[in-house]
Amino acid sequence: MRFFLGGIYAYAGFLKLMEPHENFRGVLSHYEIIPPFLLDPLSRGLPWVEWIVGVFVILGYAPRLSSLVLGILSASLVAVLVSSPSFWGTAGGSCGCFGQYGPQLTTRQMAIVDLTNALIGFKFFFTSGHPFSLHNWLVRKDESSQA
Amino acid sequence: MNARYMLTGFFLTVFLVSGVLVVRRNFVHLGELPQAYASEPKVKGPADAPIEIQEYSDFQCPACQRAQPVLKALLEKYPGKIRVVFHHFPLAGHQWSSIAHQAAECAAVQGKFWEYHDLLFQEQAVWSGPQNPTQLFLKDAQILSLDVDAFATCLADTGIQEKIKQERQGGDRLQVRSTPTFFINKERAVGHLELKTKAEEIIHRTLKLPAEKAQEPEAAPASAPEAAPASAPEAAPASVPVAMPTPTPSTPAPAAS
Repeated sequence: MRFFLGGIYAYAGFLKLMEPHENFRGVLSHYEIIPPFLLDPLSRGLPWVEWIVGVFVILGYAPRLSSLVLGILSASLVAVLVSSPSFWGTAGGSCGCFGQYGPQLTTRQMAIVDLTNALIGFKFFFTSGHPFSLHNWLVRKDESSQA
Repeated sequence: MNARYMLTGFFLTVFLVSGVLVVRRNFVHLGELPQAYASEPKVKGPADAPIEIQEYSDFQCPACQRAQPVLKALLEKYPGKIRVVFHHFPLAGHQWSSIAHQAAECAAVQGKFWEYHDLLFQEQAVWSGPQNPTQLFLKDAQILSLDVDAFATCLADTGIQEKIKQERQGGDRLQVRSTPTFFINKERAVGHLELKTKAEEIIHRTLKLPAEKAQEPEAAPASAPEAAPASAPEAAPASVPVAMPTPTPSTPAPAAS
């Protein structure tokens, strides 16, 4: 599940970083809960956070902290989606106008995916053991060098 | 966390950032915006206009429809200063999009692209339903006094389909991922809301207008019934890649239809 959570975010972040940030900014601009002054910093910065923290989660570097970050990010996305008129079915028309690659999910479906990611993220935050992680390797190395 | 731990994180971050920058520099090549000439049927506005807005749009896209009053308001507010160029960008997810674009291009052949373009957006709610809208499109051709027989023949013209496909591929090379996408003097603005804010900013800057608070263009009343405030796509922000994956640079764009 750690690989799933980290993989999703690393993939999403990487793809966004391969495109002009205005594409993502255009998506964000439709969510009225996001104030306009935040659009630029979010559209430029968020993909980097997704990419870097996603890889951290995959590798198990600072696993609790990085899982927490992605958990909070996912929870924020749920909040943004729930605040959107399309979640409540009051938006005019089902557009599908933002890209056409991959599965097209409704706002509610995406909220469910993000909620799941948030729960996974928070679960890992409260988990102490992280097998096959860079964290464990670094801790062991530190213990053996102190011994 | 000790020093080794922190250093590992630091170098890992540097590696990840560098990796992205290297890949972007070497493997991501943005296409060039096509040169638009005032004599072309899908161009309106003077050839020497200081502001050029190139639009990649889908006739079946509600957000594209909402952009039309914004564009119209800009043209009215800054007469003679703006040239608008339309590019076909039909999305595969819209059932009748290809035929709508074909119809518009057929109207362009007969010199009435913009009139047909306006009609398509005005009637979007009507022809976007489950029924095949070909008859409606023929009726619209008649309303605009086009040669309906030639128009009907044109609707099946594979050459026109190829032309639309090439325009669409041009948009893909520019990494147009959503509609409407605008290039206002080569600066990208995605969505009708961004068009509103960015267009004024660029126009004021380019025309060196007095530094007052840029007024938003008063959108002309939409001919079509107003959609609900957020005709935003149902796709979430792309942080959820399952919902909105964006292709890697090497991924070929799917066919428009």
